[in-house]
Amino acid sequence: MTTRTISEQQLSAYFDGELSPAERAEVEQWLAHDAAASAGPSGRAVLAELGLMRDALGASLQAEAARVPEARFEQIWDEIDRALDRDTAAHQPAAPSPSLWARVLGMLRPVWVPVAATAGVAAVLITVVNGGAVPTGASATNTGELVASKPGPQPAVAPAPVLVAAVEAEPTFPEPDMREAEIERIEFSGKQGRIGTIEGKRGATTVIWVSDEDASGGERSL
Amino acid sequence: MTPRILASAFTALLLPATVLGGLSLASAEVHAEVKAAACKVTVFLATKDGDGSIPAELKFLDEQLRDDQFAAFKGFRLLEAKTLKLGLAKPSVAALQSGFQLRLSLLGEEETKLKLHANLMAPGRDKPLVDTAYKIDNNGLLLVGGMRHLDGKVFFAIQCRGET
Repeated sequence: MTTRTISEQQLSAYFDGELSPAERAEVEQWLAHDAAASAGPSGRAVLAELGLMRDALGASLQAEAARVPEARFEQIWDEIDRALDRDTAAHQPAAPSPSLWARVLGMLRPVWVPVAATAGVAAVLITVVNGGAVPTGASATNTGELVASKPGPQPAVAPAPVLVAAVEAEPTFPEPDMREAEIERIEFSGKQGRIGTIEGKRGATTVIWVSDEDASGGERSL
Repeated sequence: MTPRILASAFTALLLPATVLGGLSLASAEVHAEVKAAACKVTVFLATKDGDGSIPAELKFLDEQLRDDQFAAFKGFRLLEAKTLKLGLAKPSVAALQSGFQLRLSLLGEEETKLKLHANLMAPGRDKPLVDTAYKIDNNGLLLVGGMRHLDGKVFFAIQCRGET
């Protein structure tokens, strides 16, 4: 008969199936004699407690998980993937040194207000002195009439910056303004519906959800 | 010394005047009466199957489509996009390839917001699925949808911009 004492850690490892066959046999042998020999809480009692804890914890987690729709899990994984991608990108080599333009702006920052004021005054003075006339070949204008009234040879004009071209590609509909709509009246004829709001970083968006199920009374005025 | 003081005083007087003048001009432009509106209607399908990615044409809805309310959908695809021109109290109708018909009207402007009327008809039905009057910020977005269509549910993103 063995006199070796088995610790709770070993019992826990035995419970989790993490012991080698030899260690497992040793614990089982100890357990066989433990019931009669031990004065304190027996090894079997400790094992029973571990089993109870596992069952309780497992049931609780399963109940929590059951409340989350499958699609939400997919979304959570997507978010984790994106976070990992961001983390990977953050560890990429540092960005190149700032451009000449950025450095010039940085140097001008301390004197920005006086420079802007002077430029504003100069612009106003030039406009007043010239009587509002636009110099020939000025690239500041974009009015078709002015261009049409000057059919003579046009001086070479530098190509427009890429940023301006991108903005002008969709002049009518820029990124939508994310603010809630105020629904004054709504009627779901024979259908069910509800009004929801999606809160995001850029603001809130109103969503009118229309269900396919027929409803007895579908009108709602606000 | 004196020219310096004069220059400072000149700048101090002219700069606020220029700024205030510009602001008043901008304000006048904002409060100009809205007589028409242009609306972009984007029709898209949300399906349960997909890899969760959002196509480039629907990127402007990225934040909305990644919200919990759309968590049940894993696929999104553009069905159609149309632009409507609305006059005051002159409805404009978008007959969509999906068979749905969206009628939009500009009712006016209230507290700098556009006042609009939207009426959505489903194919083969004589009553509208939804008929609503709403106020929204200029260039604001309203989402309407959730009806079964093809292999998913169809949604309409309505974005309107006032024109003076």
